[in-house]
Amino acid sequence: MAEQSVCFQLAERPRLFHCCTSAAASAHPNCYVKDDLKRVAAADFPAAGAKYYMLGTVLGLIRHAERGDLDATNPIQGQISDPVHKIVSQPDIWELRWRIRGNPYRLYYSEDLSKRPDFVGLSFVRKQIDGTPEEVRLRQNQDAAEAQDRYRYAEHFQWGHDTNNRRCEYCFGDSISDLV
Amino acid sequence: MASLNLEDLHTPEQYVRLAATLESDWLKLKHDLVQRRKQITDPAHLAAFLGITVQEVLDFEQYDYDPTQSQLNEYAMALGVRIRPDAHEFGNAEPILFNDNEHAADIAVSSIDPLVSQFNPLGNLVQND
Repeated sequence: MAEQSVCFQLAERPRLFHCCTSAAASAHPNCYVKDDLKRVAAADFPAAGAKYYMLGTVLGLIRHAERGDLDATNPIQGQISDPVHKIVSQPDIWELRWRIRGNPYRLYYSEDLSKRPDFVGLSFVRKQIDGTPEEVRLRQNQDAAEAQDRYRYAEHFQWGHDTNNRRCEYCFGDSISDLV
Repeated sequence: MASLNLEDLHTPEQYVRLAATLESDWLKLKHDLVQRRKQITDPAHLAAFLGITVQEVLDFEQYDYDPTQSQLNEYAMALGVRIRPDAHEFGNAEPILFNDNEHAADIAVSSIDPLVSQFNPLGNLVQND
């Protein structure tokens, strides 16, 4: 059976979903994920209300991923289903999915409950679905590879998370004013 | 007829928090429905009852699936539950996501305007009597 993300395993206490930065928190870095979110929002949701809705939809689902109560019904034997979204390994990169106004969006992230933070968001993209299945898969692999690069690059400064047990300014849901 | 300037109704941050809360309300409702299905029946039985495929049931139960209103009602009906919407205006005392974060900007919720009619997120899931 495929490995299941902890997003689908109920947490005793909400876990922490941090967003990877370009340098240590003390250096006032850029935040990759928040920059991605702002870029996607500006490109795909030019109307103010649409942008607010898109950003809120992303944050609302993240909160449930932290709680571990997202639903992903395991497939019955012989049925095709893909409730578990591990994309690549070493380092392991997972994805969370949204469909907003008919378009697919993806957050690539890592998860490791033995570390702090539990989750590290690495990139946010609109999934490109034009082209052949092979072309779509190739672009997904490129997106995942970029997420892996960010993970490895930022690992030595804890992906910009400067506290062990509480939210920092680069964790999801914090500093919403930076997004709008 | 007077028309509100929606940009003035709430701050951008407050709109984002409200959207996050609406998404959370939906995910909770969906989670409650899926949990009830798991308590009382299996996907194959539900699929047969509704005349749909097992795959359609499984798709419905994924967190990222965006069902139509009729799909939602069919699923709820089959499980013997009623979804009770409770639409009311969002106000100051409303619990809302991300309102207590350390670095979050302080948000002043706009005062209630009589022009705003009463709408609010999906409400309670109740089992039929």
